[in-house]
Amino acid sequence: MNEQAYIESKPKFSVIWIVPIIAILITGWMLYQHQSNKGHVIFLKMENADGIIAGKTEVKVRSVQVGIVETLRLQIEQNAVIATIRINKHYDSLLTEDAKFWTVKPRVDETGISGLNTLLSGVYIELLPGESDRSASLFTMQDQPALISPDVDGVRYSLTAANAEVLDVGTGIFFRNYKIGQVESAKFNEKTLEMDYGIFINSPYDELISKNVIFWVNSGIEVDLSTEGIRVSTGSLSKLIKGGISVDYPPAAEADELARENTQYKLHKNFAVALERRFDLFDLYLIEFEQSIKGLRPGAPVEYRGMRIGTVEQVPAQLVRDGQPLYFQQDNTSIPVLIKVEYGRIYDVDEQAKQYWQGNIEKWIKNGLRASLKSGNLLTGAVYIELDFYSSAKPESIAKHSIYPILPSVPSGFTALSEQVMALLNKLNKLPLSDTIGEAKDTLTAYKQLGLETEKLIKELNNKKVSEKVDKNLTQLQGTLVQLTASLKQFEKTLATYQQGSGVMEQLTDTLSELESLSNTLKPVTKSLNEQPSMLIFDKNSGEDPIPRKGQ
Amino acid sequence: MRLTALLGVVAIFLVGCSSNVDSHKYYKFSLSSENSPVKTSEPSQRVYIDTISILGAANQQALVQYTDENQINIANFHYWAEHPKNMLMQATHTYLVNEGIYAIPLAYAGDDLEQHFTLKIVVHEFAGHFTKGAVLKGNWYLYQHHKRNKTLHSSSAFSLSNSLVDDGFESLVAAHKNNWLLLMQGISQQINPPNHE
Repeated sequence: MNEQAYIESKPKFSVIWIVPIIAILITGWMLYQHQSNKGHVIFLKMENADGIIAGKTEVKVRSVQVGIVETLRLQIEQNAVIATIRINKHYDSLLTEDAKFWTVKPRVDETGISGLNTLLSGVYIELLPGESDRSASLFTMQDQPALISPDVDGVRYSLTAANAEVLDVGTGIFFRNYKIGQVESAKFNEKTLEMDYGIFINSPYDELISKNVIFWVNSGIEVDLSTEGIRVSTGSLSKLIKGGISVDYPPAAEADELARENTQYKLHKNFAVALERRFDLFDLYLIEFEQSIKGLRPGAPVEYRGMRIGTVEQVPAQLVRDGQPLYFQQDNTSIPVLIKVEYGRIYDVDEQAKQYWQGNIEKWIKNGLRASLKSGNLLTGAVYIELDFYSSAKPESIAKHSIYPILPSVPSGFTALSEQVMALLNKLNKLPLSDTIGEAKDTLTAYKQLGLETEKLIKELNNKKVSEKVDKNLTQLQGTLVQLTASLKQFEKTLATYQQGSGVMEQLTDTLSELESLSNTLKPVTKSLNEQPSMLIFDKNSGEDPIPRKGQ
Repeated sequence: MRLTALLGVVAIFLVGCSSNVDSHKYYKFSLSSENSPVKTSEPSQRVYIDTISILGAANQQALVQYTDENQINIANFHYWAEHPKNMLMQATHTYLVNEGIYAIPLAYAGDDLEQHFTLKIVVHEFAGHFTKGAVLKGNWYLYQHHKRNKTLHSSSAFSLSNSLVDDGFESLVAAHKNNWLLLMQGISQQINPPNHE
């Protein structure tokens, strides 16, 4: 009997495999969820990781945590630290390529104290999102906090300074002592050898910045030395510490047309220099001095009877005639000085001033107008040039044989003094001294006689009754004495208030006693604190006092 | 982090609370009138007590002891209840009044000091001593007033010491008190000489 086995083919895929497949799918989904929830990873390059701790230091925007520092590692060249930061999923949009990062830690600067809360919580990294549409994943940490947030309205301008002092980023810009902006960037231009500053003027103060404004460095302390004394004025504390830049319209000028963004201005050393540059209409004159010009410097004022009309340009004048400097000329012992007569100083309408000056200068010189050196400051020995009329001056005319017209000069200072002394000595020599002494002797004898007669007269007067006038005067004097006595009594009363036993003195004595008592009470505490400063918190652990013993 | 900070504050608080505040001791002596009632007789002499000056290390509230010939200990836990110069001033005043002397602190004397005395005591040493017990050294000066001028009537240096009866600060304070009592006896004899009649 043959039986045939029935072979049933089994299904190739067992149902049991569905379980691990579902498990794998769930695991994969969980991993994906985990990864996608972890957020975006960025890299932050910094000079050092001072205060930053991996796994702990947070990244914040406006005090809201948006990420955390995951790892810190040295760059391969070991000249920087790279921090790996994970930014939370929802904040990817903050990572624009112009976003800025800086460390928030305790800072003390002229604007005040900031970041004190990080003393306990530890430092954190502040993120300031930018405005760019492109995102990035590698950033560089800034040394200083970003000064101006992108959401602050304002206009940017640039300043160039040739010889002004170097100012820091963050220095304030002041319009009539009110802060309207700050320096945003400061860079030394190695090509022009000037400092280039980028400044930011907050809105709406950008409407003050017209084309004709002038910028100058304000040191914070102004010392004004004048005939009325010394006046020292200071600005705000931040201005005093860090200085500042002042901006204003030129004196007696109105605001011009508004300046465009990124307009470039000059930053002047001080207000005076800022104004000087505005006297563009001038003429150059040469003055030849037959005396020492020690103390005269370029920039010294040229004045007419105290009114400034120009500026000294070159001392001595570097002018060349026949291939040689002017003061190399033979038979010329004078020192040439080049000056500028700035017509804008004489009158606001400088063209009118120029016409007036040029139309009259010849006549004035004929009438005795001369230049001379005057001492401007006895301490520094600085001198300036003054123009004035000297009636005794020899008649001269304006010389035009040089490149520039030459103004005649007269000696002054010690030169003039020595000449005057010599003239005086000559006159003294010529005086008939012996005759004069004889006459003086006779006069003295006559005076002696007069004295004796006066004494005799007074004696006679004393013996007679005093006249009515004298009597009246005596009455007045008596009245004055009565008033004086009353004043003295009042003064005595005032003094009595401060005498021993008076109320004021007693109060003062009581207060002093209380102070002394307080001081005595505080002595042990001071001593203990000195020995153990931690005594305020912990127990006093000074050694036990030695126990006094019976006599041995 | 907050928990740590909170725990720290609590720990500091507990440490502060656990400090031994009872370790400080304060002392004072007074020459009370219990054993010598105020004499009722008419006061013979008026004495104004000027300041009592303490010079040197003893011019403070902590008790001072010589622990060696050249070494001083300023106590960390044992203090006079008030500055010793105030305490000595009160003790002097009490003693002189008990002796029948019309004594008034100079600060309350007024302007008329004619013919009366002013007492000034300058203390150089007011300390415990490792062998002598308690030492008291200094000078006293008695001035007499006449027409807004004062002349030195008498003065004397004093150097007193008193052994301790027992060990401890209470004994030291008692010895100080005895020293001051001796000094007061000497001064009151100078002001009111004993009547030998």
